Amino acid sequence: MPDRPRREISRRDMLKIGGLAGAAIQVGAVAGVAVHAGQNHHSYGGWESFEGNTQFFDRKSHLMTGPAYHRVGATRRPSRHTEYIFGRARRLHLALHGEADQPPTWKPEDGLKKLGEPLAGFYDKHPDLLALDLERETKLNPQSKLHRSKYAGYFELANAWSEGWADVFYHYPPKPSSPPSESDYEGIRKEPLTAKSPGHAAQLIKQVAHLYGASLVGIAELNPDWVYDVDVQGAKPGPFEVPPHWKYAIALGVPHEWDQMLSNPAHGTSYDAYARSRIAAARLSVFIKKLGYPARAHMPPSSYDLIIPPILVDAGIGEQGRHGFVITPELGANFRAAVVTTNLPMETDRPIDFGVRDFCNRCKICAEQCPSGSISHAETNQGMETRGYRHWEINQTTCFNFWATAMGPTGCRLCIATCPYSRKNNWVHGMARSMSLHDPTGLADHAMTWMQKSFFDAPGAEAYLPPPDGRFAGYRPAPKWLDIENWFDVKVNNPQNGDHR
Amino acid sequence: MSATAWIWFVMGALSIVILLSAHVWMQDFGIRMNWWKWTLMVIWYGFLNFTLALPMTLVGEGESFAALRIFFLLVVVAVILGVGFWRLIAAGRKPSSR
Repeated sequence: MPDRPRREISRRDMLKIGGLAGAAIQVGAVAGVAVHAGQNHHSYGGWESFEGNTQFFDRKSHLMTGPAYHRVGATRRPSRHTEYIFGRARRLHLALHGEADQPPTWKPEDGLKKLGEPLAGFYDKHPDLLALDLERETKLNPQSKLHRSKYAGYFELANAWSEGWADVFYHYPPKPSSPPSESDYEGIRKEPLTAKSPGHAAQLIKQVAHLYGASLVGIAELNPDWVYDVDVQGAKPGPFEVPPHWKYAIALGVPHEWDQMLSNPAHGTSYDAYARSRIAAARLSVFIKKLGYPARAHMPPSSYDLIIPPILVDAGIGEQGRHGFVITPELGANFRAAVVTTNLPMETDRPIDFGVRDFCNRCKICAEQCPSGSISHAETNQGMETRGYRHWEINQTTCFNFWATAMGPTGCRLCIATCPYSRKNNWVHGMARSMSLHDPTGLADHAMTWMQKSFFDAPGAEAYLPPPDGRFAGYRPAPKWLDIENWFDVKVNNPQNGDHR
Repeated sequence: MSATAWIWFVMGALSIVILLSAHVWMQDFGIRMNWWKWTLMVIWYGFLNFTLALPMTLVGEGESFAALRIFFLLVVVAVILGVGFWRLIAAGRKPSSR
């Protein structure tokens, strides 16, 4: 048999083949690196570091020149007993059901007058809210109890995770036992240390706040319009003047754990971020006292003497979104805040404008997904006015009524999860944010909103409702570590699979 | 050197091999390359990597369905770009004698 001619591979051919192989390896490696980038814990903003590098956005280029709010009328302080939904709900609940040592004092047939002020006057003006509040007390809460008897097992791990965070609320820090003029000065250094400049003081406070666990920090002069009208903590119930030493407000923000946040309203919780921001604020208030200045921490879940969101806007942490939450460049709406009031002289920050207003006008995803229809679908927030300021308003009562029907840890937070800004800090979402920020035409926003609505599945507003209308869906499935069936040998009714036994 | 640094070092070395190889391929196709043709080629190759990197990052985040849809969209764009760029790059080519 004749020898077959030997085929020689030249160096040139080697290079050609090597290039193809190299390209294949490179493309494969890019895919591998990309999967890693999606999973990487460095993208879990606020959970990866306490060194302050969580606040990476250059705010200086986006400072507002005008006021952050449009004043549209006479302003006033918020009512703690009526406008603060938890305050109102608690009062009505006590009147209807009483407590251990206090019998019920009212039933709807008695008429509003017997309910007493301030609720009677408030409901007289807002009969629609009375109807909604009564629906919660008389229909939704009992219904929820029935659902709990069926489905609580499926959410038990999520509730355990949540309660683990919540435990701190009951122990630390203790409630103020005296008015601000006393308790804010408790443990204070006798002679206040004088900072080299207000800039030095602000820089120090921010660094320390980050080290105490705050992912975001900003400082503003406190606008008295954000302070509740009555019942300051530690003092006798009744109206109070805003204490003169509440000159500055240091705003802190901490994110929810990202994976469970996306599983709202089913498996997510508020309490992780509540607890972390609470502890950071409590520590910071002690730190300030040790410098010789009075301080008071206003913290989640309910230890507030003021409303927080407008302070976040004033302090340049972010802008208010359609869903009422403040949206930040780093964490989107995925964070919970606390505030420390003090008179330590500090350089203040300014509000920022990084395009949220225009984005929210276009996006509306939160409104479309909201199971209770509490978020406005309006084109702009024109005509929405609260206590003399124009800003996005949500229907707090229908929102709170949905909480009563939700099955996982207390609350909903779906609008946080669906907000396109509430995404981890990997290169994909960083690129999207950057495009949105630098595109004056709005085309990038349109394109990304379209992509979000077209390519990313969302269960739809009804699916979050209880059975039979919905299935207690989450925006995303529970992370593996919160899925009870993944860890324990238990039999549970999983309503998300249509298991409605 | 960390694992990440090694990966990027190897990627850089591979990029040089790929560029040298592309130069030889183009010669064999009889295509005379110039700066804008190289630019188009690099843009397309970059887009090809982007076509994989974006969906794979979403897979890493647990957004597999969105990743698949976006991947198909990007593949279509990559093919259209590839065909268009190739026509521009290969216009007026003279087959090589090699």
